[in-house]
Amino acid sequence: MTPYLVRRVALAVPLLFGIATVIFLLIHFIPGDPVEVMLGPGAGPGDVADLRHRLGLDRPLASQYAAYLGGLVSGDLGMSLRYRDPVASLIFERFPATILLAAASMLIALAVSFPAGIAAAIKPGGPFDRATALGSALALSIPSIWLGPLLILAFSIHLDWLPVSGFDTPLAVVLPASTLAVSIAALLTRMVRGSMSEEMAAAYLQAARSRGLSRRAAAVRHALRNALPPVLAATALQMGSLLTGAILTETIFAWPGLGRLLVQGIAHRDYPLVQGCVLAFATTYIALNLAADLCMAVLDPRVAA
Amino acid sequence: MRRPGSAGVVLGALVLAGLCLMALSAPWVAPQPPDRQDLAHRFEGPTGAHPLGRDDLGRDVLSRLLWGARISLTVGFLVVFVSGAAGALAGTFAGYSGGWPDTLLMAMVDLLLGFPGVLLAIALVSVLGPRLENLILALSVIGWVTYARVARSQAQRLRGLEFVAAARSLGGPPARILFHHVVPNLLGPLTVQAALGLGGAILAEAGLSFLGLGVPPPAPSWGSMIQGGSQNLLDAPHLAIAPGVALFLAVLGAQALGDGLQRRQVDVRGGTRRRGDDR
Repeated sequence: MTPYLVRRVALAVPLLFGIATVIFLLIHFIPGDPVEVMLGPGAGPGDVADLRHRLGLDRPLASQYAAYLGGLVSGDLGMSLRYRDPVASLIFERFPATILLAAASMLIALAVSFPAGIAAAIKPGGPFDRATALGSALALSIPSIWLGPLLILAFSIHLDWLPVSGFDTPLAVVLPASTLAVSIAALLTRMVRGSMSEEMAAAYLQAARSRGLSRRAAAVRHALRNALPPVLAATALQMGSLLTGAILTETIFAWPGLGRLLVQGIAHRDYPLVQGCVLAFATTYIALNLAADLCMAVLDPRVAA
Repeated sequence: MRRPGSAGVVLGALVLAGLCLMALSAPWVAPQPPDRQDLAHRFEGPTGAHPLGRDDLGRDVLSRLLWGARISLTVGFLVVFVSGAAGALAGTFAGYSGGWPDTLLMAMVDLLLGFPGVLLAIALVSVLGPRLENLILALSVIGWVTYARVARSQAQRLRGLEFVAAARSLGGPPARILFHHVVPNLLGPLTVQAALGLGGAILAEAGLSFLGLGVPPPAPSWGSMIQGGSQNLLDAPHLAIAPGVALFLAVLGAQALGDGLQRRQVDVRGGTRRRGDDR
């Protein structure tokens, strides 16, 4: 187990380094002069020179890169052009809201997918199984940018049950979290159903059934335990996609998280902020994937073999 | 007997064909040019002349929906074509030849899969500028990896099979073996991937357009239409409905086609295995 753990963590380090390098180079991919693009057409030559100096873009590329990496190590991600605050503190301020949204979405997805997937696998081909398959296919195809406004229309405008947007009451998380949860719930339902069906066909389960156990009891007492590891690994991996899905959901519901901060940074051509947000998302994504792999290795030692 | 997945293939193909027809017929069917404004009739609900109503600038929603189909579907199909061709070429070459090309490809695949794809597309378009070609480039940069993985694993499998070994032992040049024996056998799995990838590409384009990173205004796209509609839910809830339905149908069609083709392939392989068991 330990060599696997060391190898897996060691693989994440060059990945992080590569991503940090790509993000550093991002600003240099801007067609034309990045500083003029950031300031817009009305900027004078003095403003352009001042910002170029502040961002360090007047120095050689190697020196810029060394300063960037040094900054990363000390937690300095530069200053936001729009907010005039350190990018790192803006990210730390917004990050909890994104984590809250992702965690609430995952809870909803798990609460729906496990019972639905297990019930579908107990009677394969039955009405519930067919309904679940159809529901999953529809849920996987519904775009979150459309579902969000539809939920606002139904639950906020017509029924007036839930707030349209914001972060003021605990109820405010319900609509954004549900929007974000739908596709993950559909994916996990399919996984739970598939994994459970495989176990339900296994010889040990037939033996349990032959001792008089009902399909439901055999499923819950025996099959579920063996069906869990791949599903849990998929669940952990989906946390990463929840994070990036949050970029759209936060924009729809004006949720004050990292995704909205990124979109605001893009809209105001605040590239230091964009770089910081992309780095924060990517680092969290890699950390979650790493955690998922390690969980999988603990649950199923064959993975680490 | 009907093959498994047939219903999905037929349904998906029909829905996609219908949407393509809608996009192609836009110049003749659309009631008016998609960017013609009429501020006196902003947020007007559905009428006989404007069956889907008018938007915040008084533009005809049906016309914008039809013209928007062109952008959404063009991006979807071009991304599938570009990323599919690039991924298939790289994956086939790496999988068939092995050695350092394979190691290099897998390192690139691991790097790209370790990075959230949507985020990379957002970062690329925000830096390069919101234009149609940048959108296609960004989505292809993140999309080719899946095709490369599928092509690589299939090419590795085919390399060890008897008919490829026989072609090699007869002295066939590698390029000929690749294009005559390996590539035709890759087309099935790659087609499944392309159908599934089409839905993803259309969805990603809509998401980027929603964020203002799609084709710049006034050109219509389904994502930017939903964004406009979601800003005016109180005044004109109908604005977000029509582009949402179109987008949903496009993704559902691609998904049904992909799932159906996949089930057919699994069935074919399962059948082969069963025949092998009988012997």
